[in-house]
This record gives sequence, C-alpha cells and structure tokens, in this order.
Amino acid sequence: MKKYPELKPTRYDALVVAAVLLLAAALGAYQWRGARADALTVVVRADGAELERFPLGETERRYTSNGVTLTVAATAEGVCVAQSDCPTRDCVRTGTISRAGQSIVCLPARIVVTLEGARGADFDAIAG
Amino acid sequence: MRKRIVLILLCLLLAGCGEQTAAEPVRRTVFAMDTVMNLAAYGDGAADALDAAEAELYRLDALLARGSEGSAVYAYNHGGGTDAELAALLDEAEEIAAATDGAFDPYLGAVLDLWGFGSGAGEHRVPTEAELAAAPRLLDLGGVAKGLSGEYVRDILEAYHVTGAVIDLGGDVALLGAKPDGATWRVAVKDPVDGGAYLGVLATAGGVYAATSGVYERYFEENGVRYHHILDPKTGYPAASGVVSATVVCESGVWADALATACCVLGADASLDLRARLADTAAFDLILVTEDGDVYYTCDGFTPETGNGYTYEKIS
Repeated sequence: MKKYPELKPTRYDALVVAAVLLLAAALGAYQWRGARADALTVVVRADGAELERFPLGETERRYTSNGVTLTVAATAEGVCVAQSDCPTRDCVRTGTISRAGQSIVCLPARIVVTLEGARGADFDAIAG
Repeated sequence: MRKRIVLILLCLLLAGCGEQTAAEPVRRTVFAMDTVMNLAAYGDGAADALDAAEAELYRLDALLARGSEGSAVYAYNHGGGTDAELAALLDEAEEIAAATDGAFDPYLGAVLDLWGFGSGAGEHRVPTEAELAAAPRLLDLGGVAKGLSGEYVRDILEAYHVTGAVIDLGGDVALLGAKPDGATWRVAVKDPVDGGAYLGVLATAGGVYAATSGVYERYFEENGVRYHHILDPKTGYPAASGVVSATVVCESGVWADALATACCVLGADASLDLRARLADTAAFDLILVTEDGDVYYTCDGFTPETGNGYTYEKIS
C-alpha cells in the first residue's frame, strides 16, 4: 500500500492561515461596524431623492428646495426643523422626532427628514 | 502550490458568507393631494408597478381637486354633470352619508371655504351664522380622496403581481399582501397630541386600510379659541364630540377614510354604536382617542403603548 507523505507545516501553510484569519477579522469588523442598538441616521430627501445623511448628533444644517429654505437642527436625542420660510411652518410645528421610522415633512419644500435605525425600522408604517 | 491556491480561494469563498439580509422593497415618494405619500412594494414587478401607481395618484389628484378647473369635481359643482367614475364614487359617498346619519357629508365644500379650510386656501376666519346658513352644497371629496387612492393603488399593484406593499398616503396606510418573510405587518399609530410618540402598534394581515382623522391635523386659533377642520355637518362648526382622533381599520379605503371623519363628529359612544350597526355590511375596527385621555380600541391586533398617560380600554 502506498504510504501517505508526512505532513509537515511549511511557511506557505502559515501564510494561508494568516490570510484567512486576517480576512475573517476584516469582514467581522465590516459587518459589525456601527451596530450599536441606538445608532440613528438622519436622512434628508427632497422630491424623494436623498440630499444628505448623517449620524444623529449635535448639528445644524440648512437646505433649500423648491424655493423654501429650512434649518434642520439635531442633538444626540433627536432632530427637528428649527426654522423654515415656508408659508404654514407645519414642519416646525411637528417638533422633534427621536425614533427610527419617524419623519418630518415640509410640503412646500417637498423635503422629508427621516430617522433611520441601524437595524431597520421597528414598523412597516406609521398611521396617523 | 496549486492546491494551496485552491485552498486560499475556498477560504475566501467561505469568508464571503454574511448574514442573510431581508428582501428590501422598492420605494417611491410621491407628493400629491397636498401631502407626502410613501410607497413600498415587494415582488418582481415592483418598480413598474410603482411607476403606474405614481401616475394614478397624479390622475386622481387632478380628478378630485375641487378648485382645479379641469377636475371632475369642479365640473360637477359648475353644473357639468358627472362621468361614470365620479358617479360611482358619489354613490358610495352618499351611501356612507346615509349610514352615518349625515355625520359624513361629501357636500361641505362651501362651508370649508368659509372657514379657510377649503382647497381655495382662503383666509382662516370664523364665519357668521348667516354665512353658514347661506352656504350652498358644494361637492368636496377630500374626505375620501386618500381612501379611494389607496384602493386604486392596491388594485394596480396587484395587477403587476406585487406580493406585498405598504401604501402610506399622508398617514393613511393601505396594506397589500404579505411581507416576503410572511411576518405580520406592524403599523405604529401616532399619538394625536404628541406627534413624536405612539398610541401603540397594530399588527395586521394585508388587505386593510387604516385611515385617521384628528382635530390636531389642521386648525387655526382666533381670540384664544382653537377651530379645527373636522366640521359637524349639522352645525357647520368644528365638531365638539370629545373625540380628538379616530383611526378606522377597514377593507374598504373609501369607507375607512369617511368613517374616520364621521367618528370624530359622532363621538365615542355613537361611533361604537355605528360600528355595531355596520358589522354585517361594512365591518370596521376603531381606535378612538378622547379629549379626556381615554383610548378605546376594538382591534384584536392592537398593543397599547405604556406609560404615556392614556387610559386604554379594549371594546369587543
């Protein structure tokens, strides 16, 4: 019967092991980046198209669309439209949103500010 | 060496296995009927289906816009008669008016204009009794426009073999089919007073429409008094029934939309009586919020939010 050759680990084997471990670590880091349960992202869209998205945190940003300029103000807790030169200012009256899936709409500007969660929305829709 | 290369490649393949991500729907945002509409559809025909749905929403907006000279409603109000589509909708609206003893009235156009709530965007003011008495009956289908749209969009999506969809028309939600993983739809119901909070979550199968009417949606203040847009057809004044908001869940979008308005006019007891009366002809579920902080609900799938100061009561 043919004798199987003895297996002696060589440096090429070590290379393979290192490559796999490195790849696994890199992929793991990529998969689990920013997966804190409370990581919320503010997404600002005009006419359905995304203008900007940023992590929820202390910031103020101004957007102009369809002749209306509004200011989005965010803190670590939530986001609101602080100011708007639209006629009815319903967007300002909406107040602060703080949960994934909620949104503030300025109809004249056709701007929608939405909070998106790291693991997707808790609900399929919000009625009311 | 070749074996080692193969081994490395195999390992890379394995490393590529990540977590299974849920199927993502195709989404579309439409601005129509003076509101923002968010559509999400699952299924192979989803993108084409949403194109068709978007076009339909603009068509319906043009058809029903009372102030727009080319619309069927404008024509009706100016002696132009009706086309078949409008006639069918009118029949249904009048059926609902009769079923609700006039609490829902599709002919409040002129009265809404007097208050500044009409499509003509007049100034907000309190009309006199004489003005209210003299107001002609003008067709205004704003109270069923979104409900009708929800039905039409649902039909279109079905025709394109969409397997599941969320049709959010300015907060009125129509649900079609099922999610790809078969899980129940979850619809959060907004707190009418605190827009950032929820009353609770409704778990439901598809094929229903959840319409909400509330006194805080549109109102103005004059001399310290708040006047909202849900008028009591009998008085011409904003309804003062004690109901702050009503969410109606029904298979018919038109009925859900109209009944939500009617329940705000009727008040809690009369709304529940209405529900009992319509159990065999137009069954619906209800989530009513009163100004006293009570929430009466009939939906089996509704889970109240806790710790928000409301008192919940499930009614069978």
